[in-house]
Amino acid sequence: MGSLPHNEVQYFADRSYRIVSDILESLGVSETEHEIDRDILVEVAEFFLCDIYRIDKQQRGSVSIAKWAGYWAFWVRKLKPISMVNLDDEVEYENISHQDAVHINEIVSLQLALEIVAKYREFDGLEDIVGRHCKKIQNGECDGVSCFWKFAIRYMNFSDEFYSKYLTYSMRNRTFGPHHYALLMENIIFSACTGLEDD
Amino acid sequence: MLEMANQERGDATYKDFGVRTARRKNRSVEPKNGGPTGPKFAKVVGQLTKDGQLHGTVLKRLRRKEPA
Repeated sequence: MGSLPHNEVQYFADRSYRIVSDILESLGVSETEHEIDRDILVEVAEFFLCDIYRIDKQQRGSVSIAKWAGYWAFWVRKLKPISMVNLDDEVEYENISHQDAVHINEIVSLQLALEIVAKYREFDGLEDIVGRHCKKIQNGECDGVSCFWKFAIRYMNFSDEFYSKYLTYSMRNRTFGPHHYALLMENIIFSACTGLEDD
Repeated sequence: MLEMANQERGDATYKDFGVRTARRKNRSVEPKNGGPTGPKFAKVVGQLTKDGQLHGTVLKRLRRKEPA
């Protein structure tokens, strides 16, 4: 960790704080109901940057969108910077259930991964194999973002949030590594695309 | 500990792996786009932290407002 540029660690820790706060706000979790540990976010930034520098070297600069999002979100899910002020059984939150509160780090981490993928697609910043092969994106008929959100919403809400609940449960109670995250993002990007030619 | 032991013995560690692989294949390890945290990436991360730039939760049950 000592070889990581200090300013980059602080930058990603600060940005993580801002993004996590915004996602919590979108979930309707008020500031009085949760705390975000900035020291843990520094750790998140250190481990994420360590991973992403290693991958960048191994892949000679071709890091996919899914890996970028998956590794960042993984360290949030792993180190759990968010704590609810009170997790007693009888406590009721304004907008989320008790089960959501228990899984808050996993729910926020999943949303973080989706937000990163969508934003990188918008700005064409990283390796995106589906985007390169999508006729609609190449012809300017699709921005690669609206299709992504449309499918993600459909997938995560299908059958009373079956997949969303399965994912958050797996993250908390089973093995769920950064590579699982990357594959999940790759699959959502691929499934969302309607501009690929059938083989 | 394993990392330290490997370093003391002069063995390759996971941190060296990317560099050593690239050397064997005689390819450059120079990163593209200014590296994994270069300006292109920083621009997008910066956008993510601007007001109103996030989509917001995909869970309809928890959505507080319609995404921008």
